[in-house]
Amino acid sequence: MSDFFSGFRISGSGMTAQRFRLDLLSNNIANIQTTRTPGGGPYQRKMPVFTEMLSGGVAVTALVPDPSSPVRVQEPGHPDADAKGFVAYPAVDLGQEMVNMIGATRAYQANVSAFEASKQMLLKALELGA
Amino acid sequence: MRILNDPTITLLHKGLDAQALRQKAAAKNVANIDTPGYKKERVVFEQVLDRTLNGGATVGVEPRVVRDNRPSLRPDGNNVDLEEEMIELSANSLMYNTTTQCLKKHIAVLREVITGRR
Repeated sequence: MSDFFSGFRISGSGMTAQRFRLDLLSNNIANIQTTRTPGGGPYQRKMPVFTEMLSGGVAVTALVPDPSSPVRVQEPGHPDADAKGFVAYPAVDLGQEMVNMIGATRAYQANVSAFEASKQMLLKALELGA
Repeated sequence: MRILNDPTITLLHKGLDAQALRQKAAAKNVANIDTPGYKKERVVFEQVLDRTLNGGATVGVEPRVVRDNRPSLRPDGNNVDLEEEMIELSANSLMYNTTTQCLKKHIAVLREVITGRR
């Protein structure tokens, strides 16, 4: 489609990126107690990396695992406890994830508002000379 | 000036055809948003039209449906992005409105030529 609608696509890329971020946040929350992963060890919190696109807009270009060390909890009966009875739990901070979730939701809404504004402008242009 | 058989009307007509087809393609993509392995469809028209117009001809320009086989981050192999499709639908319906407006104004001019201003 013509470049006339580039504002539309820019807002759309923002929405896609924020929805993807929300998926990651959900995954982090869902795995808050996960001690086993295919790669071994506890789950590592994942963060999206947003990159500006040359044509305008944003894209998620990488998923970066949080390097924070796992939280060690004394729990000797746990099947994944080490010799000293410590279990390594993911370093996921529920409060931080919830705050990020609000951020993602609001950013999504902001993109919807920007899109609506572009659309209203074009609709007004259509009324010219009518 | 060719009043009837005017290339403008032919071009606008083709534009409307392309936009109708594009609306169908976007609707199909949304309908298949959860179909495993589905790849989205796009309509190619404007670039072909531009090339043809630069060559001076208006015949033989038809909108074409092409499949976008780019991979996605989704594990089911489907590459439909809901936001992208909704924007496509929105932009396309605006474009359709624009084309019909152009057509309407063009026809108004023709009517004026035929009936004369009173």
